[in-house]
Amino acid sequence: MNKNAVALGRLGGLKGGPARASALTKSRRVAIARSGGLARWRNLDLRIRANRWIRARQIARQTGADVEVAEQVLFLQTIPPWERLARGLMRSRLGRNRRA
Amino acid sequence: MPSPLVGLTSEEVELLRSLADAPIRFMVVGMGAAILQNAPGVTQDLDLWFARRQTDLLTMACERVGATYYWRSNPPQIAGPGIDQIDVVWNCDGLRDFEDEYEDAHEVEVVPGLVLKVLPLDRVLASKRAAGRPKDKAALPMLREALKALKGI
Repeated sequence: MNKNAVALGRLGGLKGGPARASALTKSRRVAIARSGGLARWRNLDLRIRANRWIRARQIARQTGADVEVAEQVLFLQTIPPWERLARGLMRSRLGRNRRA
Repeated sequence: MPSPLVGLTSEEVELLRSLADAPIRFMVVGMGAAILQNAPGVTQDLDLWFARRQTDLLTMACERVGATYYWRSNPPQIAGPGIDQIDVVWNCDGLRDFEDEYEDAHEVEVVPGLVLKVLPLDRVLASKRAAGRPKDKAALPMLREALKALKGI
């Protein structure tokens, strides 16, 4: 693609995006925006998880710890202790607490 | 009202607050203590290890939140409406005296705004190793690995 030609075309401003937006209903525009936002968050979550696994592998190499346990420990460090307890208490996990 | 992310019932949280407000010396032990310190385990209840000779204080603290302290049963129990995930422990296998362990215990915010003493993870491992019940033996590899990982973090 010729970059100069693209830049020349851009001088006229954005055409396709606004035209597409004006042709859509509001609910459709909202749905498209929502799916874009979700995809961006999903990517961010994947990146965070990937980084955690990389760090867990480093820790496992340094300490000889199991890499899966190291990853879980790293994840648990990111949440407050009471939430760790909520995840660890079986009754709470099974949703049997009346007001948990 | 506890946060929905707290695994304890509101009655159990009130009981813990009442125990912490009274001059009662106790700490969280067992798998609950390990979980609070990032070990990826599961448990049925929260074990609380109490110093001896606190029966009157314990009874009062329990009654303040509508619970009962059954000191005559062996092991003693705390019971009451909405309270069934808290266990009383008098002796812990493989550990030193209560006072010695209490001195080295960590402080952890068990529920928002409530900090309790918690037995360190290496001591939990020692007690599980000494207890030797099948469920304790099953937890040993995970605790060992978690301890190793935490040293590397």
